[in-house]
Amino acid sequence: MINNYLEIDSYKNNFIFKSICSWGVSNTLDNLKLMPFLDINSFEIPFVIIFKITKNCNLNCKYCYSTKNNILIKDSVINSFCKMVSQYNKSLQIIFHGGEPLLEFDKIKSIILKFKNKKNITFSIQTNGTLLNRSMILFLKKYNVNLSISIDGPKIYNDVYRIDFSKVSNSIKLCHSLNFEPTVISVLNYKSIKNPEILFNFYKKFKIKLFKINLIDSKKFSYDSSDLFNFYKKLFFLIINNNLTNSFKIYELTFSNLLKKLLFNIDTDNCNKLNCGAGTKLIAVNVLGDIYPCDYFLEYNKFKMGNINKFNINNFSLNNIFIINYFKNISICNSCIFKNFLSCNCFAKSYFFGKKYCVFWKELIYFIMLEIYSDINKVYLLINSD
Amino acid sequence: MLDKYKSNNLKVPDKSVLKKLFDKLDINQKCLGTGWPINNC
Repeated sequence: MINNYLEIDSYKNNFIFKSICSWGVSNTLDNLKLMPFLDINSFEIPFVIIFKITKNCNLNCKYCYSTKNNILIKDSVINSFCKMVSQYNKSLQIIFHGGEPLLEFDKIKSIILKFKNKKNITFSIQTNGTLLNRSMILFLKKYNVNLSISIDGPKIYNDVYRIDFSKVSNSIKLCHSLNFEPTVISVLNYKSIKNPEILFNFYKKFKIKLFKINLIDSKKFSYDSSDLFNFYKKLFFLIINNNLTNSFKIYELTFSNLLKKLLFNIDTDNCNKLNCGAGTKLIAVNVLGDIYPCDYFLEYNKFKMGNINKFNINNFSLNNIFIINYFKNISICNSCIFKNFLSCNCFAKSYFFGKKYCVFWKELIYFIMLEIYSDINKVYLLINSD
Repeated sequence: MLDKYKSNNLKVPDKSVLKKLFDKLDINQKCLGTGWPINNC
């Protein structure tokens, strides 16, 4: 329905377009810049490396898009990885991913320790949380490593596609007992999408200050656009109401990133920035040291960009014509007013899983902007400003 | 339900309002980049 509306209505009369152009830096969507009062140099999106340090995992989640194997990473790959990282002096984020990365915690430790004095590097770990122990948490806390735990909400939701709720929730409690704040990524499933209140109460109960809702990456599962929109709409008001009335504030990353982009044109996220950052501002490295544009392309040889042994992190280009052409040929994007602004559809997800949720995304953007413009102070309740 | 989105009467905030908003938010460089949630962002 939104699509029809956009096609019949001149986009120049569209209030989103008007608001973007009200920045006064452009009267077309083809030449958007940052707002004049922002210093572009102070908002450099970091280069991101997703390091799949193991393909092994102690769980077997039903919706996992990653294939498992028991190949152990060699010390030579770790050494080459460190050599590559040491050659990069600009802002860099390294995300240890898997499989379950904590299976290789000793190797993660050795990398973090090697770069502990490099201020340009931040480290994150995405974990299922089941192997987390006290000494790991104390190490992560000491070296300021971000820890993101995968848990899909309370047991009734988590156990739809995952297992071991009690182990993971105990790990979250252990983190808090050691004054360490983990963040959470929750994948939305057919049960939790109907009850955002129960999901949100889980974050309150477990003192999760920042979480992100992800969608399932699988050909076997898809969401109804209106269900998705209704979920996010309810979640929006749950966050607003909580942050207005409670001292413990909770934020969701989709909302805060979208608002930073829509209000200030700040690219907060390599995935959502125009044309995304795959293969340009983001790479994925597997256990063999092979490099791909992002973690969705791992194991597909035609997308391989090289190996860390011979990779110049300061001077490389994405010479993958497929990806560039794929972007240009998404016909659904041709008449979209957002096409030169942000990338609603992850093209890897479109390609591998056939997922296009742009009707949902457009509706969400319209809804958010309408709410924010009716009371701009709501922004403070949706973006952490501590 | 979507009719309200067709309204063009919505007042777009002035740039000075957005600047104030931006200054108060203190958006941090370290919070940009990955799409992964990062502590304290």
